[in-house]
Order: sequence, then structure tokens, then C-alpha cells
Amino acid sequence: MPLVFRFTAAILAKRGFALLLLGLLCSACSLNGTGTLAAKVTRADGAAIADIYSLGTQLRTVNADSGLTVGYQRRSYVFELKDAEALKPGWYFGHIPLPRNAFVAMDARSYGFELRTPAHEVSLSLGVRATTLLGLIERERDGALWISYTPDDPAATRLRTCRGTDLCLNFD
Amino acid sequence: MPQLRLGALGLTALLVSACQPTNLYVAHDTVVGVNAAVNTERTNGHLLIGYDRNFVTVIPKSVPTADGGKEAMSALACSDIEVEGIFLSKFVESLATGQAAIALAKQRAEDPESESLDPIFDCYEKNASSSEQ
Repeated sequence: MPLVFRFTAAILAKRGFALLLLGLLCSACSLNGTGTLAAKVTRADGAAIADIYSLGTQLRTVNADSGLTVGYQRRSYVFELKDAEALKPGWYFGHIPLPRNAFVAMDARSYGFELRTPAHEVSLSLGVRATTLLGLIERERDGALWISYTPDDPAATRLRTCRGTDLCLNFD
Repeated sequence: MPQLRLGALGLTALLVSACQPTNLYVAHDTVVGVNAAVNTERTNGHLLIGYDRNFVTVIPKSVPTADGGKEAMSALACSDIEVEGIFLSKFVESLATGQAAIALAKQRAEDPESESLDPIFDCYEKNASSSEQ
């Protein structure tokens, strides 16, 4: 095949790939826990962890993690076990029934464009982004929270929460 | 046109005022690429190309009290974080808020050697000794 045809075919292939990717990103979208996503729920000591994988556009209205991502991402939310009874361990596709109560920790890794609009700032990024939120506690709460979390090993998570003046210090 | 601009400013002010944090949390954010950010009070912002890592503690400005007033939030917290590349690979967080934080501080003041408080104060001491080195 002449070089000029090879070059043209390569350009078309690249353009086709770019168009395919663009189409995929535009057509694949999700809102919070519903849409083009796959999620894995793991139960651990006192916690339920939802690892959500999505490709395309994802819109989030969750407090403290609100925003928009276009690209690939993995977002992991740690919930108190008592708030996440509906989250049975295993894989979910298309929809995951995320608890309405706020998560206590979150770890996100995204590749692409991301807009974040939590309470303290508005930010835009293009590239690789790692975001972690720790110890989310509502301001009216009297209590204690102890968490040990390894995002790549959710089964090793340990979480204790208590209310009032109980310090639930029996972590070990 | 001035009315439109005024309306946009009003809407922005409304959105910003509605965005006061109601949760306490520690946030870590690392970007490799382009990052632009502005705080919701629009007093601070940045545009960076390359690598950027931030840690911030978001603290609610006030807590409503039982008698209808407001007071500063009481909190006692310690975070122990391990980093691998741009990602956090592990974290341990010890946090007490409100009456629990006050009770914890009182216990520590009354009995500094009490082992029952080790889970939170071990974290402080570990981080204090590592920062001294």
C-alpha cells in the first residue's frame, strides 16, 4: 500500500477513534448512582464501601462531593454500616442504591475534565485528579468517629461512630 | 443590561451564601494537569499548570445551640495519612465533635496518663514526633 494511503488510513483511524471516544463520552452519562456505571460494594468492620467506576459524563449532587466529571473515574464512598443496609455486597451495574445519609469518607480518582463545587470552593481541572474527603461530620453532631481506610483494600476498612459523649474508644 | 448584570450578581451572591459548609471535614486534592479554583467567597483563587496538591480543613462557621444561639464548633481531630504517588494510599482519622470533644479534652486534662484515651492521643504523639524528626 502506498505510503500516502497508509498515512491517510492512520489519520482516519485516529479521527475515527477520537470520534468514537467523543461519542462514548457524550452518550455515556450518570447522575449520582444511576447511569452508565459499575459499582462494587464491600462490607467491612463497621462500614460499607461503594466503589463506583464510570466512563463518560457523571453529574453528582451529593453534598461535599458535588460536581461534574467527563472521562474515567473511580469514586469510593464509605458509609456507616447501619446507614447502608440496602447495599448488599457484590457488583451493581447501571444503578446503585446509595444511602441518602452522607458518607463519612470518600476517595476519588478521575482522568479527564472535572468540575468540583463543594461548599468551600469551585474548581476545574483537566488531567489526573485525586480527591479525598475524611471524617465528614454534620456540624450539629456530638460524637466521635474513628476510621482506618485503605482505598485499594476496602475490606480492611474499620469504622466506629458514636453519639453524645460516648467516645467509643474501643477501636482495637 | 445593568439589570441583567445586577441579577447575575444577586444570583451569584445567593448561590455563594447558600454554600456555607454544614459539615466538618478534611479534604485532600491533587491534580496533575491544569487546575483552576476559587473559593466561594471569591477572595482567593489560583490557576496552575502541572502539579498541585492541597489539604484543607473545612470547618462550619458556627453551630446552632439548644437555646437558639450560635457558637463555635468544638472539635478534636487527628489524621494520619500515607501517600503513594499522587494518591492517598491509607488514612486513619480520629475525630470527636461537640460534647464528645469537650468530654475528651476534660478527661485528658484530669488524667493525662489515662490509657483509655490512647487511640486519639497516640495519633497526636506519633505525628508530633515524626514532625520533630
